[in-house]
Amino acid sequence: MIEYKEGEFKEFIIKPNSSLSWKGNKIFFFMLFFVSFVIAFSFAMAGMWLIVPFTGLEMILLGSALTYCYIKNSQCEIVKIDENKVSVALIRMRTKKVFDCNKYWAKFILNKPKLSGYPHKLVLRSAGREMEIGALLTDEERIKLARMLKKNVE
Amino acid sequence: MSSVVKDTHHDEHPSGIMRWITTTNHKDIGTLYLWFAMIMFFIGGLMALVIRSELFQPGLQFVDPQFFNSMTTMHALVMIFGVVMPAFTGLANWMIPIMVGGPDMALPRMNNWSFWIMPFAFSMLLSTLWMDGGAPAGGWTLYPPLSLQTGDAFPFLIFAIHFMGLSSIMGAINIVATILNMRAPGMTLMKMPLFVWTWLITAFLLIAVMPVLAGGVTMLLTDKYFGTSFFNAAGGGDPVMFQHIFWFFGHPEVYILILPSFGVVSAIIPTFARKPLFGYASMVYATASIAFLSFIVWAHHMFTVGMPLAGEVFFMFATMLIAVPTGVKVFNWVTTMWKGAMTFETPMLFAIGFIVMFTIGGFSGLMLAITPADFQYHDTYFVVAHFHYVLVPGSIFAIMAACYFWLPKWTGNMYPETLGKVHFWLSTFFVNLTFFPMHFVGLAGMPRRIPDYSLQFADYNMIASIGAFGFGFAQIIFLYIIIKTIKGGSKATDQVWEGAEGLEWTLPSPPPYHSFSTPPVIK
Repeated sequence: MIEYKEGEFKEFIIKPNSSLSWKGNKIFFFMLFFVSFVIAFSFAMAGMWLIVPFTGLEMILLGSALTYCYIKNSQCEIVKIDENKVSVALIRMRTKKVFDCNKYWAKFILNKPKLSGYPHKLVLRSAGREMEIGALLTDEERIKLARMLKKNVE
Repeated sequence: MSSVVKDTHHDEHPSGIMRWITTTNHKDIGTLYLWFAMIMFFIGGLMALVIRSELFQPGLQFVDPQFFNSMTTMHALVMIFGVVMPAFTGLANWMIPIMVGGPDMALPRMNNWSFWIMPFAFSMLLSTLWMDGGAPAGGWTLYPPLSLQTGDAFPFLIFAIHFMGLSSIMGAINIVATILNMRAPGMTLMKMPLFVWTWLITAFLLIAVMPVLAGGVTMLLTDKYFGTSFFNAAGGGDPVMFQHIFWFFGHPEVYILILPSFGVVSAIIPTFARKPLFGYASMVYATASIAFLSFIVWAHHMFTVGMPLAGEVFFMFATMLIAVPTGVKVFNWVTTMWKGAMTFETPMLFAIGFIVMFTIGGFSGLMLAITPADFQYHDTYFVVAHFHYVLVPGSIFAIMAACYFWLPKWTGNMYPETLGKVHFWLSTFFVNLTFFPMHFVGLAGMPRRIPDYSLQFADYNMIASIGAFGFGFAQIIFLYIIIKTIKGGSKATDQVWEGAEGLEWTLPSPPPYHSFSTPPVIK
């Protein structure tokens, strides 16, 4: 998703669409965790303990999948463009990295994939430095973002 | 100062074999699942024809009893794990991201893995046909001690089941993660299409019961090769415990095979009745109720094994209770059709056929739920008739209905309607010719899983065998229709069907390689 705001400066908030909060994901996970282990331990109490490790492995897989989705969905990139400066903030979980550059040296480049079907890569390049933007978007959104950014730094 | 380096047409994708091996696209993986299911359908179908050829008349004609038993075992494993489950996973892959307005599945790489495990699992399973001691012949239920007498095939069978289970779990986790996290803004849970709801509940069931199967078959393996005695009475184990384990997995498995069918039918009936689905919320709650009840009815498969009277009564009434939410569903489908502006295109015919014949299977299920009556029916052809009515005109008809319903959307071409109707009527006639007489021979006492039988069952068996061959040949028409539609035909519109509603019908036919570049607006 790309949110565009225009005020003192132009701001692009880039984030993936997430329809369930982390809390919601946790509630779902623990509900399944509870049901699965009640089943597994009930059989274990009857001597059929080999079901427990399989349940454990499955819960690790489910937990990892939901965590991966959360991490992927909680990423956010904020691109601010003002009179003289382009600033990109990368927010990953609790970390925030900021990349500032002079607007007149900033160059948004959309690299075509080497093999067709693979995604384009959008980078901001300035004074020998380069960073990727919009990796969490779909390819169509990335192409659209490239056009919007290009228009705003021209 | 900025530049865009060569903006290309973004609908391109890798071509050739590598497209299919490396794909992470939900539509490609959906297509792979559906073709895999189709191939396995013909393999499993051939096994069924071997069974019906042998049973065409009393006496041993074509195969020896060991091979006959291998055929019944392999036919079940192939049809359940290789046809119905992958077909529904294929439909889920194709339709769920589109229906919820997401760009793809939540975990596309895992999606690729979960498909590509399947061909290896089934190659392993089918390779047992050429092994010393033959393919597994103890029935798909794998009851010990009989299944432990399997020859070299045994470890291959167990690992094939593990791989199928792993694939199912990965598929289920992916579907859950997609439905929970990838819905478009505004697509609340109670706005989701019923196909999505039924799959969410199916995935929940899969995740809950698959470790039970995995643990159960692993214990069989350790009993055979590592000297444990989980199910060996001589070592202090309990063979009946395996039956509890198996059916604790096996009964929810039945609902795993049928719940997505309910979702498919709930999409088709309103489209061709040109009315909204009657009682959407009650459909969701009925599906959840069926899923819950599926956990507490497993021992109805074991009435004759020996159980305390209180246990038998509990499992009898719990089983009969399932008729209530299932009845709600049938009532809602019929009420949706009531006073609707109905037309009878092929998907609708299959959906109506599903309702009628699934209900027949449901009623015979109710008969089997009655404990004292089950003592008479148990292990007879009546049971075979019951579950085939639920799975063939139930699950398989729903899959066929879904294919006809969404094929124009997938390919951009309309299928030949007349041929589709011919396929439906031939399938319906022959499926009844095959399975209805089995009720009579079952009630008369013909046991299941035998290659030879008493003379008094000859006529009905002959009819059933003719029906099976007719049904098998009718499916060649289905294959022909699909190939013909993929290759060409009159162009389908975006909406395809006049009464169709839902996000999938807002996309072009065929949809672009990446579905929704920006989340659609849900009203």
